[in-house]
Amino acid sequence: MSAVPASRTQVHHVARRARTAGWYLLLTALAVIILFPIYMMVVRALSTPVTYFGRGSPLYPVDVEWGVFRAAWDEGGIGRSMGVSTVATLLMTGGQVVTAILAAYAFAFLRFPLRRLVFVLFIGTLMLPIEVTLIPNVQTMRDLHWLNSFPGLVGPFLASALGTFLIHQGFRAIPTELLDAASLDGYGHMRFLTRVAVPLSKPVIASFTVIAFLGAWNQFIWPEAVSTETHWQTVQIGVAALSATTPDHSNIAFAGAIVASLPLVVLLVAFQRQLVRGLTAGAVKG
Amino acid sequence: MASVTLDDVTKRYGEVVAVDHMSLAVEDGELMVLLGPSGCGKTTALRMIAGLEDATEGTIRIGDRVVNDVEPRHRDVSMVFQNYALYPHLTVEKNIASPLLAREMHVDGEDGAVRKLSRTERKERVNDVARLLGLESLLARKPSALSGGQRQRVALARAIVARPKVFLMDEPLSNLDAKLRVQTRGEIVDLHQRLGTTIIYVTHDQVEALTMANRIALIEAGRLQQVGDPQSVYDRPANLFVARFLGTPPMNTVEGTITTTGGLGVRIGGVTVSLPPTPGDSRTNDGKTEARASASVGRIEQGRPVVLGIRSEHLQMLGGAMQEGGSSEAAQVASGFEPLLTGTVAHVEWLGHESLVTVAIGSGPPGARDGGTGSGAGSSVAITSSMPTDAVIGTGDSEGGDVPGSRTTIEVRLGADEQSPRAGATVTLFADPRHLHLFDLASGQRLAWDTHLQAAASR
Amino acid sequence: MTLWTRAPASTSRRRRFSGKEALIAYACLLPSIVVFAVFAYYPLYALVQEALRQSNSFGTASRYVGFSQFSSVLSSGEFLSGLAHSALYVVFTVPVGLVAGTVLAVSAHRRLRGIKIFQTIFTSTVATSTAVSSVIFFVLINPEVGIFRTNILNDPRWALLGVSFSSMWANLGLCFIIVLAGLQAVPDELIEAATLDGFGAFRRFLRVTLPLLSPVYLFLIVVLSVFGFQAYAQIVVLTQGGPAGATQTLVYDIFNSQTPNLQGVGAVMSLGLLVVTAMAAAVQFSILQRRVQYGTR
Repeated sequence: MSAVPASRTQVHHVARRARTAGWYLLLTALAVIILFPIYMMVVRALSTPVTYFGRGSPLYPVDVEWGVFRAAWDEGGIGRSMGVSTVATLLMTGGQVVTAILAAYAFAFLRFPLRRLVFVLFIGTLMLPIEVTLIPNVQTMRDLHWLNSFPGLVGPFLASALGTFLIHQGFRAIPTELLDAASLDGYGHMRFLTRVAVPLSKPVIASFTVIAFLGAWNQFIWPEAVSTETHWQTVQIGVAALSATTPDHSNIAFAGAIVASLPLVVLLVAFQRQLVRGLTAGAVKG
Repeated sequence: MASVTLDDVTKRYGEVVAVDHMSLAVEDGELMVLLGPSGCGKTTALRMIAGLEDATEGTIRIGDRVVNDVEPRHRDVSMVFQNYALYPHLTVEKNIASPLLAREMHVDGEDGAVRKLSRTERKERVNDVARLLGLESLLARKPSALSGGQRQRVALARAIVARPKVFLMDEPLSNLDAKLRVQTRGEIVDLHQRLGTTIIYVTHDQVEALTMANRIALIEAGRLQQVGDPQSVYDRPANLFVARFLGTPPMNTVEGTITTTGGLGVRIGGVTVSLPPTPGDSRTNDGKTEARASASVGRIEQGRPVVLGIRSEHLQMLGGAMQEGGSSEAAQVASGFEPLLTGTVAHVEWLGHESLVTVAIGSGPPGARDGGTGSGAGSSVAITSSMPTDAVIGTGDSEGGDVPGSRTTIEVRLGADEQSPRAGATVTLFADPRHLHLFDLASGQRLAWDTHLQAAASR
Repeated sequence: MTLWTRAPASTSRRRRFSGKEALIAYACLLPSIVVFAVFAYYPLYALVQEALRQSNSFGTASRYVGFSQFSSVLSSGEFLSGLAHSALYVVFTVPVGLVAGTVLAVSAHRRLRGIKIFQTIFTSTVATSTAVSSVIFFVLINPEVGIFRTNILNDPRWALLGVSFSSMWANLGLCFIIVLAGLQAVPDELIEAATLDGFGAFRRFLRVTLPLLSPVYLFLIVVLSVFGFQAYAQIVVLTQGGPAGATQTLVYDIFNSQTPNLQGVGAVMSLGLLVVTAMAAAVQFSILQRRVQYGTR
């Protein structure tokens, strides 16, 4: 008789393990589905196209040729466009973070006339994405002779309503008592901003920095519009251009795509928490 | 060190008046407690002294200097905040040093030169204060790694380090647990005695006020109600608010009307409590209390609606088995005072060191005079405990209107060694007439009945 | 009786620092204001101006035509098909994003060893740009070099759906993150209470979790719709608008109306896109504000 409860526990035990195994199976299946396109990109980048097609396009690399990355970097122009993208992205990210912090500070801690109107105008820019303002902005750049230049690439992206809004919320979360204490301690605006407001809002600023970087790196339509010379192509444009080459050189395009994604892979691994927080709060285009 | 003077200060937010024509003089070196319920304006008053709020009207002085237009950092005050307001990203050391970074202050030696401190001077001061408060071992920590009590001390240290003329404290103990609160209370008093600096201390906790203050300023609805040392405001509350706000449990209050027939008394329900002249109330005018509205005290005249107040610890009780078979005279002899009221024990709270007995009153003292109907003095009004008290209070008096229809209860405090009566027992309450307080029902102001009586007698 | 101990925030912040506040404020705001004025509001003004003018076929001159251009462009086949393609793109990608995000999030929202690895994998498509994800799908479905050598991108009936596959895949990471964040914000007690009420796992999800996720889904719908309407790189990489204009979306049309003779047309189409994005942005902002106010995270 005493064996019955024992076997019953055993049954429970087995059932639980089966359920756990089931979850792992499902998770693995989903992971495979998600990773498969990326895996195939790597396979195709590493395989020499002619041999690969000759083998009937298998799911594994054929005739691996590591030189493809060098080819993409040099002949494919990915190296040059990585440089353009890096500079432009750093300018845009840095610019957005700085201007957003300053503007958020004004909205959170200062009283000034027309405050509400200015705030509404800031938020209103959320309704004016670059796709909408593309044509006149390109005209502006043409008039300023900023086509094919860094000012042209980054100009419209040196301020961010989303960033202002997020950081503003971060600033508002600072307890009023700390403001009072800082006031009694004789802190001026500069000192309060740099010593209290920014350090205390680090998480939100970090999140915004990460998503601003992501958005800047991934830009497509704007650099496509203002970079008419190959020399000023960003890496996204470069990758897209490479993909239009003949099938015999398609491995170079895939290698380029891998290189172009590396900074974001680093971002994803190193700043996953900030990235997730930023995306759930703001959801910029990825 | 400096005095702080509010002269007719008012703070308005649009329509709302937070502080209403407040005048208050805090003496140099004094620990003044601003006491009142939440929302009474005490914190606003403190913040105006700090310079965190502008006064809408009136003058604020620190020492001889009018500071209305002086920046907070130039007022030479330090503040301890309710939630401590420590910078969470800075170490304890940097938190304590923060007032020294941007503020100019008196430098040791050099005939009190005023300038910003050097790095070494800052370090020295921080170390001194840390030693004073026993924080040396915590200097490298962040506030998040501290207990509530430790954070509180860091906040104190940050206030002390600037060596201000005035400390402002905004409910600094309210976030501590009960035990720590008592301990820290003592430490602040010690600190005050050692430093001798003026402290203005805001709290809603009357125990803190009574135990710590040199003087207490009671505030209600933005208005200053009474200022005085703890004992004088406790013993001679200037008005009903002060009377009820101070003391645990709050002072018992019963509404009634003045009667002057056959000596001064208060009619409560169908019975009369007599107010014999006593020398006790002469303290009202001894200058220790500054009851703002004492001048407005009205005349004590027949029929005037009043409130009779008596603290629970000043009541004595006879009842239950003791009274059975005995007369009221016997009871009077036993207590030494005239009987005040009779009632029924509603319930008893036993607290260990004392008991609180709640008595539903509804009957006058045995042998009370019934001035209205002229029935003879000494005739016993035997109201039994079986009679519903509500009915007695609500309908027992043909004159009506001088007692609210609701049930009136009185709390009586008994010592641990006194035997508590059972619920439902009829008891008689006695009190030393010197401990009876009389307030005007309409204005709530204290009525000095004995002096009035003396005046009336001499007329 | 007043029930405050401290002033309303706006008032108490009034005199915290020394004067000249307004000056400092506008100094702080100036960089942003300049950028927005030049690159957001001036273009809006320019668009309206352009939309009222019509260019000759050489683009050498234009004349004021008032609102007539609005009616002609907005009713033109080009605009309507572009709008239809954009809308269709949204219809393809949004439901897939919601369902796939939910499947991924529910699968990965449990205590298992190594779950963090799976969560990172599920997030990974966030690290691929639109250009890269388009190139990846080029590998998969290109008729000549793809793994699956479908003809889907050459068939006008299916090309748009084919292009949208790349967006569906690229959106997985974001959808997963957002739904997972929503799931993590559901209080455990509610689930436990429902368990005690005798609800099974499926009914718990349907009756407790899903209703609580509705703001999350609204947010996701708005974001994915905006993405869908903004789709451009995918089309450039995969189809260049073809075959037979079957993948010419609104944004694709706008980009290609930059020739001088089409300025007015492009401006009207831009304003049409503005109306769509404005509605989405309004919803997005209200969600953003509510979320921050009630601070679930």
